[in-house]
Amino acid sequence: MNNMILGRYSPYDSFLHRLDPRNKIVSMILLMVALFFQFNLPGTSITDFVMTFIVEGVILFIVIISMIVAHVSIKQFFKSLKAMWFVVLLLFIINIFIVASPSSADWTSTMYYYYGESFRIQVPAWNWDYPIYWASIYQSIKIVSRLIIMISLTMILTSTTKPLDLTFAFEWFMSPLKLIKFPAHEIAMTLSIALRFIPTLLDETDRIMKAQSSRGVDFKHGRVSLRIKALVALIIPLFISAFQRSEELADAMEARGYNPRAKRTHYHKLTWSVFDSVIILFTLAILAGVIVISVMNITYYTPTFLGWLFIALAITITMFILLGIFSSTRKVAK
Amino acid sequence: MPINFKDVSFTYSYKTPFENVALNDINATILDKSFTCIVGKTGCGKSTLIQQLNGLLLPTKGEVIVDEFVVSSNRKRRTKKLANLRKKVGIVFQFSENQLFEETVLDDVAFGPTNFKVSKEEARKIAKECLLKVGIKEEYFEKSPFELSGGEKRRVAIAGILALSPSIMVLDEPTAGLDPEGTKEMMELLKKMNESGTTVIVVTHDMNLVLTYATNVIVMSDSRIVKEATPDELFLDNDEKYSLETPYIAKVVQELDKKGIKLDTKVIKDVKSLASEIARKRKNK
Amino acid sequence: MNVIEANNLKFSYDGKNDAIKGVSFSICSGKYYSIIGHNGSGKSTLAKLLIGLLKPSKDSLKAFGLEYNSKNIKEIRRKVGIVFQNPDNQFIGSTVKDDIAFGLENRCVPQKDMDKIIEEYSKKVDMFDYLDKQPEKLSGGQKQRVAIAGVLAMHPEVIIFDEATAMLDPKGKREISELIKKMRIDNPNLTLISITHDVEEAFNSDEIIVMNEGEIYMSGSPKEILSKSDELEKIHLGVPFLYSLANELNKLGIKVDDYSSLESLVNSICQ
Repeated sequence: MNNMILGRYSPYDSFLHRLDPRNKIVSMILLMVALFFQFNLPGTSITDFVMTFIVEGVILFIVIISMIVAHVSIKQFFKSLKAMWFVVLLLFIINIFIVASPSSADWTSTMYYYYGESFRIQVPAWNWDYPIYWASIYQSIKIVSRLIIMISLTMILTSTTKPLDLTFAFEWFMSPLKLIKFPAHEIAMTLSIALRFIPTLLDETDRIMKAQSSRGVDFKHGRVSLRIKALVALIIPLFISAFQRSEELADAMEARGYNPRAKRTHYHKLTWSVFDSVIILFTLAILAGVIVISVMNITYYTPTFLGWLFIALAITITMFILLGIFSSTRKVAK
Repeated sequence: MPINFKDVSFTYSYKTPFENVALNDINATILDKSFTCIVGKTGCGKSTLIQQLNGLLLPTKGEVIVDEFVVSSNRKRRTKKLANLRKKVGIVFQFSENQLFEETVLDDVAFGPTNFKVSKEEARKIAKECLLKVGIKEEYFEKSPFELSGGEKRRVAIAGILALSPSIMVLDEPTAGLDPEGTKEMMELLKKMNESGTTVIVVTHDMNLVLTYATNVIVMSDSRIVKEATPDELFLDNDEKYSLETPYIAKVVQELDKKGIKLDTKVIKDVKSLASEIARKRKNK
Repeated sequence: MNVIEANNLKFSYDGKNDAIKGVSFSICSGKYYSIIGHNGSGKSTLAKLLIGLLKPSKDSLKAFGLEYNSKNIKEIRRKVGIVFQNPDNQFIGSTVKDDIAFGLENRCVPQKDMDKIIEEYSKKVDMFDYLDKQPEKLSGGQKQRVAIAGVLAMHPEVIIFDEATAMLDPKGKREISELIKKMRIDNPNLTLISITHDVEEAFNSDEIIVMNEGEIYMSGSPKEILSKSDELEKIHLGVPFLYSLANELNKLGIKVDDYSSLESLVNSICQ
């Protein structure tokens, strides 16, 4: 099995691991939203790009601090992004050519003249002459860097939160929907059982693949028709055994008194600590700051009351994070 | 042709933080036409060992030599078309009834040969012979394999491997979950196969079966081979050094030994031979 | 006192062929029963009937005087627990403690009491050191022990073992049979029903019920069943080893009268 799966839960006991999963989900979403604001600050030297990169820089800083706290190796992260690099590169090139050309983005077209052309791509044989603007390049960097930051935020969430805790958090978020008979509990239970059985079914897949290989099936090479047959020889036994398992599982659950419609207590209680409040206030403050700058078109940054509050909060949080780094980070057994 | 393990080591997830040594410097020979049982505690590396035999897993170090085939992770040493080894060495996995997928029993058994470029008609002919050999009656041939009982399904799965006409049959826990009758039928089937010239290798926990059916035993513990012996050497002359279960027959022999009755352990295989050996001893007295 | 009573109990999956063909028996409180039979003899169907996963016909099956119907089923399942054959497919929680907690959650046990209960019962089955382990890190025997802890934590009066050791290695089998012995000492009022095809295992119980083709073929104490071992052979069940050795010796003219244990058999050979 591939052991460098992006965002696989890492069994440490760090500051981030101990935060409430609900907090982590909300904070992640808040930071992601903050990434997507446009800045239009006319008459200043601060342009949209500069401002965007400042915001991205702040969030990237948080990401890097979080990775250090959560024992996620940054090197490992970039290694596991390997499969993504091709997509990122493709996105970058497509963006330069199509998305961010003056004609397709009229509202910013002035920007293209403001920044000017970087160079022209000329292929005389095809009678091709295409201008590349600095603005397109900036725009592409913006989109791609947003993407990477979003991936890393999600990765921090999943590598510091047990999948099961995530399902509990989702159940909590969906609980108001129970009023309109939305099966929030059933969905969460299904998810947690699915998570529980992933390793079991992977083992099963491995065994069936080996058994069919012993009968001469080649899963890797050969004609398409043979490979389809090979896939059938894997999928049918896998499905049959999964159905059998689910039947036995349903019996076992029923025998132990499970009834989806009945009231039941919960062993797992999500606990919200002071740290959670602090962290969520911090991310809220970042988002608020971004909104204020984006919507109000603040031209020059002079610390107002809100600004000072923001700075004070940022300092406290950094302190807490540093505390988190130095406090217990023992590794939990694999 | 005997099977040779030469300094074989195997590590799962080699060179990752999740490394897990399953085989450690294995040197062994499995004799041609023998009925060899591989025994040991769960997790001692038995299942990993047999998967080296047809190249499903390649040893991280060392090599396995089966006839003209060399299984090794060294590309230069390794036989090029390792897939052909799967025709020579048939492996039946644990709970093999889970590998059936075709619409009829006959098609399922014929599936293996067609993978080795045997024509459909020819494959069906072979399949019929193999099904009869494992004791599946003709009226079942056109039935869906999923209508059969657990024990029957397992026999169909064995026929599926048998259809490749391997000269070495390897079975991982073929009697797990079968009732006593099914267990006996299964072992008799393997014995018959062995008598007709096939090398049979069985991984099992059931020491009573080992004593009755095996000609050779390999004992594994903690990823190593700790003993190669014949069953009577292992059970009847030895104490419980390898923390194996003691077969019932061995218990009786040991108890009688304490009382001063020494039986000739070479001839004792099953209850019948034990009884006649006891009778012989009593007559001599 | 009879905890379970079956009176002409019948069951059919398809409406045509009866899997259980009218059996009658009663299960006494505090005893250890074994139900043996080969695969397809109807013993697993019987287990599912006893736990209420299949619906018996009216008036044919009662537990604690309660009829098996949708009204009583909750109460019956409170008193009757079951451990199934496949260790993987009855492990519901993502870790050992979650799995033990699953039953408690269904019983609406307050969350603050759960840790104490989990600790108590995981210690009983000797799995306390594994509370945070995931099922794929456990052996089959360990998983079955967790399943037993999950059942014990609900204080049942009857526990059914539906071939609970069939998929285990010898070590796992030994662990479970030792645990069963311990459970009986801890709580003498606990009734155990073990469904198995392992004849040797069945001889540890107080009472054996032999099933064949959906009917009760015979029943009695292990000693009585042992003396009728040739009958077991007739219905394709394994014969206890000691009996078959004594039988072979008798054929060769060596009279062996007492084959109830290994010692007694060896002693009578030596005479």
